[in-house]
Amino acid sequence: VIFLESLASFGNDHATRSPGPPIDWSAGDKLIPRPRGPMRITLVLTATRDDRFVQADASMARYAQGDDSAFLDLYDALAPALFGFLLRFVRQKALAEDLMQQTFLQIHAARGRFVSGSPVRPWAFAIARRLFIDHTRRAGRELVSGDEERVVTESLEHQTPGDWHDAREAATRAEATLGALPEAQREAYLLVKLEGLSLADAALVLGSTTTAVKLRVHRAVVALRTALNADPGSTPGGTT
Amino acid sequence: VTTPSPELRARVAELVRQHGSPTQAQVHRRSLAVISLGAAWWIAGALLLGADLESRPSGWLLMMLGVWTTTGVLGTYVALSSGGSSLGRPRPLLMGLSWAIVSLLLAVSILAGVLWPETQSAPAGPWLSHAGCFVFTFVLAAGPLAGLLLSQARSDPVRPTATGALLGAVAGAWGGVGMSLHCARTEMVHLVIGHVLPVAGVAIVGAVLGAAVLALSAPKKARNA
Repeated sequence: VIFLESLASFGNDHATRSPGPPIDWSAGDKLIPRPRGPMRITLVLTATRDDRFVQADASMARYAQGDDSAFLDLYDALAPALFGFLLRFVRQKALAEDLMQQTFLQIHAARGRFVSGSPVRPWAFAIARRLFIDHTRRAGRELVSGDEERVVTESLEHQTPGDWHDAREAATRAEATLGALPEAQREAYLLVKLEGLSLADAALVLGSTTTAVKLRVHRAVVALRTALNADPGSTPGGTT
Repeated sequence: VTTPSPELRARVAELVRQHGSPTQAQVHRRSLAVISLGAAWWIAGALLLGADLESRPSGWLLMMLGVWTTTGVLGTYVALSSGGSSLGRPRPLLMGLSWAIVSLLLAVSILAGVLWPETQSAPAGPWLSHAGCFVFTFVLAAGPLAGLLLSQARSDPVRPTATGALLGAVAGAWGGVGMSLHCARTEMVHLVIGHVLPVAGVAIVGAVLGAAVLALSAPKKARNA
């Protein structure tokens, strides 16, 4: 749902094809949700996500200082975002879990290197990304499409049939387009638009410049917007 | 939205419980110890080589030592401080600083020759005459480089090569300080080949070693778990 929110925040093109009035953009770039459907849920989840960020930073600060009991709090605060990030790259739940396990073990091993007062999420994402890169270098790219998890559709199971169909269609096309993007653009988009990292933090994670990350995100957004405006029958990558 | 299995949470917690890890205080103490050892190497080397402060113009000596030492001190501070992020400083900044250190030392070596033309009267000598300073700059820089690299070991998941290059440039600058104290030669060519070129060399060594020492990769135990 957060994924759909990030897409919707760049234009109401796909929303206008959904039943009900289009999104009102009169409040600048702030999203005004229609009264029913997934957008209202999105705002609730976003608030919850922000709380998790604060909790993650506080837990990591305690854990780095030697409070071992803070580890599970840290895990609970970071795991959903890290898992989603990894799953979008490896597309296999078992492999994503394996990489996430390694990421947390790495965070554990390097906790003494954590800088108190700094946000833990960019650091955690950088470690996860490094482990993913190491994995792909060792094993080669062996993404098996048959094992792909339908991440977005799983999250929409509790919507009404009409909403579910519209949202699933848009999400599936967007997901396929995202998967077909160059890796640099996909990484930048996921970190900035889905995980909420600042451009500066995303640049640190990616080892790039703020300008380059901004450009990659923009290109990803253009590609996603184009895909959402396109004929539903011409889904990139042929995913249904 | 999508959550990992509850079994994973229990498994990770168990693995973390089994494998200890140093806290911030322990890491700080360890870093201080290895940096101190690196500094001790440099001091011992500089003492063994000895200092010659008489045979060069005092203004020339003051400028050279001042710039080299300031570069070493500031470079060490920047290289070891995090910039407020656990990910350290951006790659362009690290690479830019590495180049800036080498360029600054090159510029000041040339500038000293221009400002004190009387220091350029002696012949530059054959290439081999620069080899001693070239090698000993490396030797003096080895301690600081090892200390700086080990103090930051397994800390950089993004750009260990760039971080290693900066640490190498800083260590090279310290090596150059020691040689500036010892070496009485003032010819521009000698300074560039014998004193500045090794700084660039140590930066390259730092970049190569940094990729191995600084990179944050999965420990074998955990990888096999």
